[in-house]
Amino acid sequence: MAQPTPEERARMADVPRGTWALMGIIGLLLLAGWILLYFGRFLPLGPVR
Amino acid sequence: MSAAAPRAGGFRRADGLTLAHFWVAFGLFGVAALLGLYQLLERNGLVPASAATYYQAVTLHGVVMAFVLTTFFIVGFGFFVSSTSLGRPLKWPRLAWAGFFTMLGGTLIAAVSIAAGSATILYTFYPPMIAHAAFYIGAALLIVGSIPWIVITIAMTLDWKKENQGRPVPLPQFGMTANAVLWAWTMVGVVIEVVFQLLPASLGMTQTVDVGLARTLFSWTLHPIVYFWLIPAYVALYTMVPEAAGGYLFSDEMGRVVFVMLLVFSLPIGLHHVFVDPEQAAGWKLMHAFGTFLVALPTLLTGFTIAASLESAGRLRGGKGLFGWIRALPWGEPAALGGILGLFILLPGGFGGLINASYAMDVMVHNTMWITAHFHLIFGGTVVLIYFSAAYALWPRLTGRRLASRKMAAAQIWLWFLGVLVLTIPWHYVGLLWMPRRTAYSPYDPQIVARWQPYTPIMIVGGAMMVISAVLLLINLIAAHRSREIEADRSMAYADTLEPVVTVPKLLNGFTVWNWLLVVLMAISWAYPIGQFFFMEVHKALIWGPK
Amino acid sequence: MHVHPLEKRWAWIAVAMVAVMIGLVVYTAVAMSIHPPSHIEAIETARLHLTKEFAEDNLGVKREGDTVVARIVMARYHVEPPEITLPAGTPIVLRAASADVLHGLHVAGTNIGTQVVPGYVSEVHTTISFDAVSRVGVANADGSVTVPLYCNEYCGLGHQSMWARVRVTPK
Repeated sequence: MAQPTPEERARMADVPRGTWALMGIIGLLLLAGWILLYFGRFLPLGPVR
Repeated sequence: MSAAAPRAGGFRRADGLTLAHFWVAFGLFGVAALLGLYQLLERNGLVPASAATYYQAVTLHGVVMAFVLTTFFIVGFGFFVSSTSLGRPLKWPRLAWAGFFTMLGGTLIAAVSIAAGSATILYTFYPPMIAHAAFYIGAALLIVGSIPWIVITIAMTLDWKKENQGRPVPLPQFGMTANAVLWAWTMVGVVIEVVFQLLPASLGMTQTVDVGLARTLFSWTLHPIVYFWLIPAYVALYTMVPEAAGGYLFSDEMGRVVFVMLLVFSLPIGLHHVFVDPEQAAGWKLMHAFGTFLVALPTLLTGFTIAASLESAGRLRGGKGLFGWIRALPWGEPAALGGILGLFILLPGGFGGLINASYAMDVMVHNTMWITAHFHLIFGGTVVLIYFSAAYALWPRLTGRRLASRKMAAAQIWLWFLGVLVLTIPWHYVGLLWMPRRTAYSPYDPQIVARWQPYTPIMIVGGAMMVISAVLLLINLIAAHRSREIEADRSMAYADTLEPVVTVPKLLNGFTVWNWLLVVLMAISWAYPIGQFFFMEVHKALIWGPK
Repeated sequence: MHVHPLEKRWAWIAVAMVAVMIGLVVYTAVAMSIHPPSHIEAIETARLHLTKEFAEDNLGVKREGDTVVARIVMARYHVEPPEITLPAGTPIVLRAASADVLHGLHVAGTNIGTQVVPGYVSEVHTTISFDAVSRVGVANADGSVTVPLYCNEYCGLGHQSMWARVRVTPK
């Protein structure tokens, strides 16, 4: 199977920097959203066991 | 280098077998989609209220979408992938056809029992409510009919490995083999429940059933089955979508790591489906919660690897800067679009999964519309969107004709994507407002219902969009059979990797070690939660039914 | 095995995220006793009506020492008793049993949520927040708030009609 040509490699030189930035934002959103729901919505409904 | 797919004609393919599976899957999907819209209309008083019809519709919709669409698509897809990625004819095609007809027979038997009203037990079985025996027999045949696929997939991989000692198993087949192994492990719980508890009850051989044991056995199956549905979508994401988008797979090795992690971590965690059940202790639930968070990791890794693969495509298409590649993606290419949009939906869908996994927090969302919203998003969204793209990618290869209209195919995918969001976003919200799921209508205090009211028209619009999209899918696929444009090259092109794959570690090329690890993990995770029913004080419940 | 440095970094971040979430779950479980109801107690469903605890005249809310105990029986398609009064801000214990099939029990505005499985008694310990129920309930003239108690697990063709009212008084 074919690997990228040198010209293609040049165009893809920045991969995966865009992904890294995107996933960083996504990670923060996921964690923040979880903390908001757990401590802001769930626990205030009362302790449970 | 991954194994080259030879030109079509280099070996005999079982394309008819794949098409047969796909047509059963998508044909019944169309019917089930209509039932979904019916449910939305009935719940909200736009068609005459009928609890019996509503619950029947939920049963049929759920059984078809969750068990029939999936299994048929996966098996048909799997046969195609095995044959083309390994570059050899399908092994034991007659066995494969026997499996197809067994699954089809089982589906029809179960569908008739549901349509007759004798199996209104929804799609997650409801002991001690017991359906007519035909339902369980049909379900059992559906499962048994998929076993040939397991055997053929694994046998083909072993054959290939013997003839290619030391070489990496092509990634598409590695993923599908992981899926076959997973499915074999997964079915054990529900098979024991059906064979030893539900079927005997439905045949009048027993009058009682241990509901705690039944629910625990079902929960064994209930989580890994969603990965049985997801892994083929991931196979498409890793090995087909990058190619269709005009890019490269960012990392073959990470793909293998992900498939192994999905296999190992999705099985020993089923108790999160019974978090608020009174028959399991907190310690075991917490242990399964821990494992459930671990199975989030392969999906988080997949997000990166596939986004990076798409980034390579976007940058090759001229996208510049940090995010310019996103705009440059092929938003009109149906074979890639479902992958791109499905990947996007993994974000809210995965988020919902993290919430549901969070042990006590499940108290807040269990059996509310939040749960329904979650799986319509992650399954109806991500998985089904990727199945669509895979279908559009495979159809020209299967039929030898180009798609009649790429624009219509892309439009169908966009419509489904938007419909899913319009349906599920408000659904999550009303779930957080405690709206219960699986209810034919809401005869509660008017002030309570009024709080949910503003969202129902939006959800109905979403459902309608999805039904139109489902019809459009069928039109597109039928039209593809009759398209006048010939597709001369019927070979399957899998994604190339950014770096050549020369060797991979043995652990990422086979499943022996992982199967042994699973024996240990499953014993630790399930021995007590299942075994306890055999030595603790248990009172079986009287069965209700069968009709 | 070759992994791109940025992907390796992301992998560590993913692990850290997951560790934080499960860590907080374990912490709240151990330090604050936050668990899903997991009290295992078997009971014979067919003889429920013959027990002292779930006899009809023992159902409903009682004060037992410092705790308020509510006892509920769920049966197709009725919650008995159909209306109970609970105080907010006080530790309460809810004990529920099914007289027939699987039911679910969920009280809006609270963390009272459990499956009611035939063969078992479900027990939930919680404290209701008056603020939380006020936001989703119906305010009454006497200052209390009424919230619905749903059966939220499919139990047959009359399932949707199966619900009760919980009147919450401010502490």
